[in-house]
Amino acid sequence: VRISLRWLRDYAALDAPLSTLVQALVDTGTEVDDVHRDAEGAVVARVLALTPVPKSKRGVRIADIDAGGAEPVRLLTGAPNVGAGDLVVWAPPGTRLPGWDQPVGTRVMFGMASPGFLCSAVELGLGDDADGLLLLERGLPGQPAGEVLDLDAVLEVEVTPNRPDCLCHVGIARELSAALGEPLNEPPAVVPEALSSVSPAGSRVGVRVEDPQGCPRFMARIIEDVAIGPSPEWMQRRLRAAGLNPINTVVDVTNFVMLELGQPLHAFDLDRFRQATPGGGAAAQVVVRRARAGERIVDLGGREHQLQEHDLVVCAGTRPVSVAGVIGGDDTGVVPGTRTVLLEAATWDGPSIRATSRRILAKPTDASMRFSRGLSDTLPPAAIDRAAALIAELGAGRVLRGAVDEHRGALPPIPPIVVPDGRLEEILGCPVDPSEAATALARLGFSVEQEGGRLRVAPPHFRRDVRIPVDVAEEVGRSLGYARVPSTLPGRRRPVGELAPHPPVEERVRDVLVGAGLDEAITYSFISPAAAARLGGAGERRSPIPLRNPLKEEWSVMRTSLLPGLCGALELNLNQGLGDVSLFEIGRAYWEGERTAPPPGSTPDGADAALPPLPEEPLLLGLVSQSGDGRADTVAGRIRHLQSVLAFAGHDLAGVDMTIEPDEIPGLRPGRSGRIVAGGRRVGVIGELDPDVLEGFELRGRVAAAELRLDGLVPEVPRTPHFRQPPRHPAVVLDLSVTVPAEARVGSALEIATEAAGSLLETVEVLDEYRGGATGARKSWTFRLTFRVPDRTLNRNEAQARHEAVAAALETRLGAEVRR
Amino acid sequence: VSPDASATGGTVASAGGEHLDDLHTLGSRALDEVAAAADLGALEEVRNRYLGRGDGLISARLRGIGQIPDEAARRQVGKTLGELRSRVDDALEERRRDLERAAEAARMGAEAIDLTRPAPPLRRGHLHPVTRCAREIRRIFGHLGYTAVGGPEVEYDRYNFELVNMPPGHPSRDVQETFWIDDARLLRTHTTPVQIRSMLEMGAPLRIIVPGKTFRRDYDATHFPMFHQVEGLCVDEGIALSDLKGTLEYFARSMFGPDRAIRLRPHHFAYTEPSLEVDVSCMVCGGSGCATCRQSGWIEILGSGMVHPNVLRNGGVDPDRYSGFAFGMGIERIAQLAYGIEDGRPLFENDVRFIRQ
Repeated sequence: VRISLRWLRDYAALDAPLSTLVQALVDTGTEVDDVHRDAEGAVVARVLALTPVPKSKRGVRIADIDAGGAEPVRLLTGAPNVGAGDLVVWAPPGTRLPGWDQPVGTRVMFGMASPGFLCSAVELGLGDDADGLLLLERGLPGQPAGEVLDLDAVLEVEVTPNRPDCLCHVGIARELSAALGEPLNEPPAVVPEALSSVSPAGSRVGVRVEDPQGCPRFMARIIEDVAIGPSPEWMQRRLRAAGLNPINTVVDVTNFVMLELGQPLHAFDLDRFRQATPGGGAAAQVVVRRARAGERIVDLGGREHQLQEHDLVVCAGTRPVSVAGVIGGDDTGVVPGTRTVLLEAATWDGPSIRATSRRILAKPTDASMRFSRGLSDTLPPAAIDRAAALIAELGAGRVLRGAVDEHRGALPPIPPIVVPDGRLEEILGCPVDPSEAATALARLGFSVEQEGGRLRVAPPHFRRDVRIPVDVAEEVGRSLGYARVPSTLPGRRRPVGELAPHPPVEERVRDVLVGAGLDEAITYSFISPAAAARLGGAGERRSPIPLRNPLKEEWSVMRTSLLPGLCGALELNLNQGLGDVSLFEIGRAYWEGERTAPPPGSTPDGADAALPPLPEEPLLLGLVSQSGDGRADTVAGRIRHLQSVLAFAGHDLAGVDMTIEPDEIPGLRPGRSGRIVAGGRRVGVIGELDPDVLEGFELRGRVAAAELRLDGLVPEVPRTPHFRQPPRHPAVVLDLSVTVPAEARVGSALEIATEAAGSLLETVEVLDEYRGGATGARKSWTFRLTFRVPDRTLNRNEAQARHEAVAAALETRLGAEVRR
Repeated sequence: VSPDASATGGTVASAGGEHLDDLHTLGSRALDEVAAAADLGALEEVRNRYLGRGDGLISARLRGIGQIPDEAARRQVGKTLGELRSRVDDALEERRRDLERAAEAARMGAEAIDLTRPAPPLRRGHLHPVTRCAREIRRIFGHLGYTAVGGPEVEYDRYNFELVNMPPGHPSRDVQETFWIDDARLLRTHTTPVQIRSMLEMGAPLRIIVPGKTFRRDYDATHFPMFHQVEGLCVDEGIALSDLKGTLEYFARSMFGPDRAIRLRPHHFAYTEPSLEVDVSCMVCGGSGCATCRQSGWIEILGSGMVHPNVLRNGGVDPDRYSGFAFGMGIERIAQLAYGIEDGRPLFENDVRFIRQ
């Protein structure tokens, strides 16, 4: 909220420098986002000479002024009251004047540029005199105007949700006066007898609250013989300073009181209200209730709102005419011809107002923002009386005697809080003198009884947020300042329990991937439905969970795979001219309906059982590698690289061999894709992105991709390696060359060879593959078989026998022919 | 033809008559030729000419010594020839070594590499700055005995709001604009629900940090709809606000440098009481005021407070016996401050030129 410094000074002296006041607010928990000083930049200037502009019919003159600079400044002024030698205020271009939307500029008139202008009192926010320039008694040319004039300043204050009492000038003045130890003078709220009418308000209006929980209090006053006109200049200035536009006397008074005391008010035109009442009688019938489905209200701005059953409404008889606490209706508001006003001051249920306001309005109104936070039901009498008194004092109407006060839903009183001796010290960790604490609380409006070290604290009505001793500790802590709290570290002797934690799975995997030359990306967890459908990755064939209120279509469903996001990252890099990029990401995806057990730490009451289960959140590793040259063997090399990286990670981190099972996978190119198998389980997919997918993501070149699930694969507790002595006995190494049918796969051959070779085989690897030429439709492979036994030197004949067994097995099971 | 060719042929004839002077001439000629040999091949020719097994000019004369009749002369010639052979042999050896060294030097010259040429870059990847920063935070709190734990990113309203003291309709919900899946489920707006889950799972005493993704329905120059937080929670008997202050001071100085100071500012969070925001003295200007700290000398880094008794209770912890403090910080913000990232927008663009720094 915007707080005017001059307005604050109505309630407390606050004559400390502005920076001290700002610091006091910040130190006690009220953030000050910004400070605007009125006419900041304006300076004192001495008029050196005045020359009439010949062409001007209105007596505009050229003024040469000394504004403290090396050269005099020349500009135009139309003011008649100034003469050479006078001290005036010059607002140079860029100065912001109170109530002006734009900074001061340079005008061109009579063929000359006139930088800024010389100010009148009203332009500086210093009174109503707009007829001539403000002439200063003292000051030096070039001195900031703020040093010689009592200019206002506006603080943009951020109030936390628990402190609705600080959303007004009296509230902020209270905080400041408590912090600075100054007395607080709250505004009077008595309607002077002389200005009141004899007839009671109750004769003109009846109030019935049907939902006292939703509306704990509703007060009404009647003001008759109303003369609608502009409010006085001083009030308009205050409203503008606080960011509101003046409208007319009655509306301005309600806004003024809201900004002063924090209680929003609403003014109805009583006659229009009665006309809006179906079958209306002589007295207005105010009914407060929850809306019925299908009811509508057109608000003051002419917008129609569809009401729902939990919305609170103020009705004229049976017809809703105002969305309670949020926005007034169009056909019962105050208009220029209004003669009689029905003034409303009510207390509303915060959550109800919040729900309605958030549903029907893009931004809360000044009223709904305050009511949402839950206001005290002690505020309405003071506020409605203050408003009525102001209207009467301004001569804008006659106030009928008394108020109608429907207060059946009175909020429960706040019970006093007993703070035992030593409790404040326990919480804050530093000694607290109980008397000092009591004084600080009393300044904030609390009633405190001190019995030795024990405090009995009764919060004021506007501090419904203070309930228990820790709340009191906060009030004491922020008043005394946390600077006095020492810095300590918690520490107690306790038996050894938990063991040193291991680095998490994802961190260990990250190290491997970074070492392998891939850069880490972090992409959004929400993606577009089209991207999700295009590339399922390890989450293939799963429907993504839609968000109910996404920011945009592009971010409207929860990812089931990391690959779409990574493709987006590749696209961004390509657009920056960066090809040959390899990225990885480790993060969660969201698989609806697949969580097998509730997450750890669910409440023991079983309340979650009635709710839809949370989705499974697999920890995925996604990898993409773009190659720009478009060649089949380049991208094949990239797939191979990803395979090597995964094999290394699988071996090093999980102690498992990762193999690939060729398969057709949606989004990946047939013949160049497969499933990653680890420990007998399918854990992911690998391959080259399909051309359609590339096009969908607007990717050029070709892209290798892989994705696998890490949780359940890589153990939480790192594998402990066993270091063995390397073999001392020599190996027998035998090569085997075969031709095989073109469709044969190395993976099967290795399996067959391993099985046939038996326990003497140490390793088998493929040395080369040759296709075409003399072998025709067949291709040839050369394997290198290494045989060894740990405890003796292997006999070459033994190895030879196994070698032949392998050859025979390949012949029978794979259709191989041995080349000799 | 060498003038000695006849002498070589006529060993016997000349054996007795050769003058010692001639031998000396032979010797100096041999040494001259050794010195003049330009390469190992030429040197070998010189060796053969003088010391060759069969007909070397010196070897042959040595072999013919026996035929010198006069014993004294024989001894004299034998001694002279022996010395001559050793000198030539030594000279050959020395020359051979010189030639080899020269050849080696020439070879090395040819193999020289230009070390001023920059080496090809090592192809190693880079961690995302958010990961780097999270690791650093985890390291610091690891030293204080905190264990990192996780929790679901799609949460129930109950854990995200209700159980941390923000019932439906609570105004504090307004500062955490929420992405909803349905009436019960949402994307967690903070890592605070993991406080509840951890207390229920592990009980008190407890020291955890929770790094993880969080989501709020905000998107502008300084807000991302997805960001990362680290929650911290310490619950034990006798935990006071001074422990919070000391812990966060340790963190701030470890993260931002030993000269940093912290300041606690009162604030409000529904799940802590008292609640505080923590500022660190500006790492750019050291506290004297600059553009980064908006002339205040202080930069806000996190929110914190003493765990509200309701939250302890909801976590199954007895607030009459235990107390605790909690804090939550945005990793992006810490990373921006620690790594001097002035504009946070590139963080989720994944431009490799940004990541590879």
